[in-house]
Amino acid sequence: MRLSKPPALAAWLLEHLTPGDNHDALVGDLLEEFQHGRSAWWFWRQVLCAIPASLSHEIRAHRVARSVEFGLTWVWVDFVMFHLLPYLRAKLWVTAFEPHAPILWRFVLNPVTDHYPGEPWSVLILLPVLLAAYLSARDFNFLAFVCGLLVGVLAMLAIFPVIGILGRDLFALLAPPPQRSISRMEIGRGYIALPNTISVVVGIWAAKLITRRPQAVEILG
Amino acid sequence: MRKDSHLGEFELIVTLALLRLGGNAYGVPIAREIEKSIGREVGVGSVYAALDRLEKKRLVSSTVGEPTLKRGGRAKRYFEVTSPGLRQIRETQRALIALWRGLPQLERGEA
Repeated sequence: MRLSKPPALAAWLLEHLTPGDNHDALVGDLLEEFQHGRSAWWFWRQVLCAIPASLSHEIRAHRVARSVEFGLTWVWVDFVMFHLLPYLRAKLWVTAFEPHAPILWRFVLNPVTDHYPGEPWSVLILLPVLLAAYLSARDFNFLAFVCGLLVGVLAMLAIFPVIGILGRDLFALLAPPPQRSISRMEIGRGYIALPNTISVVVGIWAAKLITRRPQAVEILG
Repeated sequence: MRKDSHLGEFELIVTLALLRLGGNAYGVPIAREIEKSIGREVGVGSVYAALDRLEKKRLVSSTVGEPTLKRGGRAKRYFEVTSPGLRQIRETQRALIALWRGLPQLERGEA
């Protein structure tokens, strides 16, 4: 039997942004109604109505649990971003430029820890992203999310030298003369939000992969 | 009077729709029943949010059905009003009727 599929983006939003005990029932109901001939526009309306209803209900219903989870993750992120990475960077920075510093430190470890992504303003931008991550992770599992976030931070560390160094050099090359004197740290700040966001997004997806189950639309075939 | 002895407006509407539909009602039929009464579209998500609140207060109970292919492998959740739920509906009804009585503006049908 060939079943018609609802709008992909709406189905994705429905699957990921409607937490709560009745998530499965809601997804099933909307898909069933769509199979019975409801329009794509109806499906979209229902999804857009369901998201705020589910999110606000979830926050109200699990205020304490959500706060604790959020706080724990925040402490963890804060530790990595503000303490661990700056510490490593400070340590490596000193040794990397010593005359007999090992090549590995000079060319690999030092660039990796060159910019620490711990600027308060950039992290503040991520608060809503983190909150969305909590609410969107189906079958939420704190350990899975922390593991995912760790994967995200590692991914960020892997790509950041490329973004940071190439981007900075490109910026210095393309920027008009007065901006060439802009400090290294100031330029670095411009790249901070991006890797932070990447780390969180990769983290969300890694957590989802750990706790993955088939999505309703995939089952439709 | 206890703080939660009366239902909110939407919760009352949802529980009345449940009673109208009989024992085994689920999301979409409940939303349709409400739409018939109030004359505008109701989000199934809002209905489920209200049902979840009511279930936490033990005013409704639910049972899970079998998952089907048409539903993307997701099971239906059937709801029914519990005895405490029925009691609360009656209390709300009594309170509303008491407030309704003796209002000349409403009795004369003025706007």
